[in-house]
Amino acid sequence: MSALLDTSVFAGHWPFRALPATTPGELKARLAAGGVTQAWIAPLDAVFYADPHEANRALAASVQGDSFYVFVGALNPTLPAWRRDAEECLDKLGARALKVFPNYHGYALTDARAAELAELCARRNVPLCVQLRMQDERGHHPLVKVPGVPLTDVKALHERVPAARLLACAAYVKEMKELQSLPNLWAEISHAEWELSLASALERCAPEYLVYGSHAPLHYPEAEVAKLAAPEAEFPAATLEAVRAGNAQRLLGS
Amino acid sequence: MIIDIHTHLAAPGLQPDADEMLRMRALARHAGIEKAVALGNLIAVGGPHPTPEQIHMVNENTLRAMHAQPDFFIGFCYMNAANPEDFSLAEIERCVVRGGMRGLKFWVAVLATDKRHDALLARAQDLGIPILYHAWYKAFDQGSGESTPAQVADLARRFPKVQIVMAHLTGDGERGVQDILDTPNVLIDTSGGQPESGLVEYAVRRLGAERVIFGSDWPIRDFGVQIGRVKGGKLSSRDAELVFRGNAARILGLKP
Repeated sequence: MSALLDTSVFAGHWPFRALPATTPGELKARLAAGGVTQAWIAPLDAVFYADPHEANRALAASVQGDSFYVFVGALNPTLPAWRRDAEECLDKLGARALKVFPNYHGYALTDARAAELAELCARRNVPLCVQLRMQDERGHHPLVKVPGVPLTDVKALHERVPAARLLACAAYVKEMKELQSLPNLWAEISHAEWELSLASALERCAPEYLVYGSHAPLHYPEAEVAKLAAPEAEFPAATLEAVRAGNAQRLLGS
Repeated sequence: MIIDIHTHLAAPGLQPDADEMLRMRALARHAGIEKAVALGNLIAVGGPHPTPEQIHMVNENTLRAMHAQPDFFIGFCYMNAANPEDFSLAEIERCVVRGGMRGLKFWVAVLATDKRHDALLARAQDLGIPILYHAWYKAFDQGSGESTPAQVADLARRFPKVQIVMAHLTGDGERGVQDILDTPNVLIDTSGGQPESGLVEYAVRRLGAERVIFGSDWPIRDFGVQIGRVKGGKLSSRDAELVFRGNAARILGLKP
């Protein structure tokens, strides 16, 4: 079986729907059944907790020692303790990437503190995952309407900290053209869907910067993995292999 | 094999693009889809308020696609209830009675509660054909003529003998599923929006598998992804067969 790296999954609870497979164990079974060999997991509770680091500690403990998972620490760089929490994620909790949720945590990615976090990631040689959205905005709860993070803000962060490896999570396929040919700026495909999704994403994003991500368990992993099962003639084998694993390994610095 | 209740062609004009049809069919076959309901060309549709001339163009495009690939395409007659009633009824005669289409399609021109639907639904009832109606609960940018599931349920109560496929499970959400609980003539299609977990099995739990029907909304969506969302619902083999094929065969009058 060839490697398949899923760069964006979560464990925890989502306040708006009873999701299947909310624990790392349940989720692993679903992902592995679809061929995933490694998943980058962040705490779902961190989206709404006042202090996301509480969710980091809980999730890190539950995936510790499980080589299937790469733990991704969730941070809010506007909180006073974010620097020490980032260090704890990387030095004690085993995080190999960090993730931010700017729109849910109430700041713009153009905030100087986000750039400072990106600089820390560059210094520590870990990717910074930017969660653009958690759900199609049209389906938001009427009291919790959260516009997506503009791709222009991701590009601005990239221009400000070009040494940081950034992963744009949950970009729509129409947004991906904004990311074209920018070194150190990756995108995962969990929200990219049009006709033949991977082909559509590859038309807009450089093939060496596109990675697989399922957004599970908020999305059905069985649906997302189908994006990789296109007719053989549609993609060069090397491109498919890069999207399945090679690009994500490079992004992770491994 | 699978019947897809919700697809579109996109190349504009009266004549469907041969390459697009071949590509669509190849991708559909790769995904395991044997037949597709063509609901009207996306580009020729003329925006949310199509004129009679635009309606005619959309339907002509669909008729020609049906004739080009009669074993694959099942056509639905695109309608705007705000257009003159005599035009719309004549279009039903042209496309359904003489042309072989098997249903009507309504999008976002007027709300489903609008009484200008009545003559068209009455004709659908006479002919024994289903209609497919767009619906969505949008937190952002709900169109002024864009119906909610509650409004589709209102239409269903007024025409309880007409089978109505309410589109877009993700957009309808849990509230939308509950809106149609007591209108047994409404099925919900699985198409539209991201493949958000939990909804397929929720709809089956609430409505029964007999009222959940597979649709992809291709090319806005991806056949494989949309099939995968139903598989992700972990339905029993009986329920999955109904969702993927049986319900469509029943309401379209195809062989079981």
